[in-house]
Amino acid sequence: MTALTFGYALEVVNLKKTFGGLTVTQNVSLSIRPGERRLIIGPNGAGKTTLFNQISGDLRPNSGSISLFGSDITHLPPYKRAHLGLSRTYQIITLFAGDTLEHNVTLGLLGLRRARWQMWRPLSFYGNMTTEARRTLDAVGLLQLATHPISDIAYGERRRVELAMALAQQPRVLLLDEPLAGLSNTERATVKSLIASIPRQTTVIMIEHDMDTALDLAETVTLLNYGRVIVDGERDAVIADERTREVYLGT
Amino acid sequence: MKWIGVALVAGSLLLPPLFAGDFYINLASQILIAAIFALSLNLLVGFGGMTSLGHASYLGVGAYMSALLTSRYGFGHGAAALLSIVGTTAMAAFFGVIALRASGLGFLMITLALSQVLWGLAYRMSNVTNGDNGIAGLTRPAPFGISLDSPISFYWFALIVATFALVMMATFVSSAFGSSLKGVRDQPRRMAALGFNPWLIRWITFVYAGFWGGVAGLLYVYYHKYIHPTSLSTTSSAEALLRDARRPGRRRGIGGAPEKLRLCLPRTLEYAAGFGVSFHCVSNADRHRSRRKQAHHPIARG
Repeated sequence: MTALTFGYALEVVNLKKTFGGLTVTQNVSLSIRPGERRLIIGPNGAGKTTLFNQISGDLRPNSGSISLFGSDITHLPPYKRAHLGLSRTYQIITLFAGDTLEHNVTLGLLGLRRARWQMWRPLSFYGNMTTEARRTLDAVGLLQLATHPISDIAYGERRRVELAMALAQQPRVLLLDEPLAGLSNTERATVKSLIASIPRQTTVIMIEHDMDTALDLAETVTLLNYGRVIVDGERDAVIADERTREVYLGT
Repeated sequence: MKWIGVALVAGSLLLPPLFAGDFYINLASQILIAAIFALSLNLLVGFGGMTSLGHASYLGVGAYMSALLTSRYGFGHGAAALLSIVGTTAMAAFFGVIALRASGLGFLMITLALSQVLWGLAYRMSNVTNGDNGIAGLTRPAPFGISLDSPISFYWFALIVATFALVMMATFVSSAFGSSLKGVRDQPRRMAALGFNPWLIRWITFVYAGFWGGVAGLLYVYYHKYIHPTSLSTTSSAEALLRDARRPGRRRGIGGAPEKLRLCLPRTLEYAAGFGVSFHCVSNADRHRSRRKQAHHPIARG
């Protein structure tokens, strides 16, 4: 019913992607409602990140379609998708190592503002952007490090900057690619509560291997294997499903 | 400390005309021209991460256009300068569309190829460009009625243009757009995901660099009162690129104005020193070699 009223936040239909003879995405269809928390799981090489790359526009699918809140984005370049409210983080940390945390987050804000074309005023002219960047850093608990360069901070903190950069954009759909990868137990708890605190206006789609943490955050789960959707549905139903056990534990 | 540096730089630029001889003043003028050229290339290489091996195209075309318009088509210096700059910038806009289809080594090869086309034209289209003889007998402009024929007056002219160019380019790279540019250099994929259009950001920078290359070309032809196809050669592009190898844009913390100057000036001076030394060697060597070289030049004979 909600689906009919609000439409889907993200709808992927019959997506297909091959690299030469290797099919990495096979007829993948996903329908994600606004505000939903979706977890995407699957063994290594299942095609999870490739799927994300197609949704964010880094890769073009061979066929199929992707739409964001009803508008077709299949052929849009990544930066236009960002302007429609799609934001993502990376599994491999992709930050500006020489720049400060504040600058990194500010770039996230700048990307959606006209000021990114401003050719005579420095970034520091836009004080409200700096304020907002600092507020986001405060939200992820890194305000005290705001003026340090990324190269000075620890791995776990970089993960949080990744998240802050995306959150600062106040996206309508947020793709998180293994936000917990490589974190210690304490850091996991921090990032987990951070993700849990993301407002409901943002739809969250997350790839994660750490089931204990990720399943707590998820409402619905999609299991991928060999580029196919194996099981798709409410969290408990997917966990209980025979095929999930098969993929993860073998028969 | 900062002000001592600024004073030293200002002094070394403002004082020489008071006591140095014509040779050194002329050398200083050429250093300033080379500095504008190097700075414009540095927009691409240092701040944009686009290693171009064809930047001499803009210097050469700017110079050739001005030379042809004033000597062959009877334009005044003002109109010729304007047309040359507009023409060079338009060419950069067109070349940018072609070259930016690639990045890295591919980009380098395309810029090289495009500049070779121009070099070939300058050599072979001798009914227009005078081929290997170059275009001689040019004049310097006289802005506001002030003659630039003496070494000192030309030096002041070059200094004013170079200072303006430095300020303009420094403003460009430290602007919000400059932040977009450096971001696209370091993490193009992330920048695209954040909402930046990497292609357009690179293209705008390419055109801007071409514009300042054209300005350097104008000064170059005014100074020499002569233009030859070698100004368009790969050697000319490569020399500028080699002196640019340390890439000041890669350093951290480009914020306030003093920082900006510190980033640009050492590069300029280093380039200048390099240029001065090589100029000295080349001009001495040329004295011995020039006759022989002319007789054996393959294209001159062909």
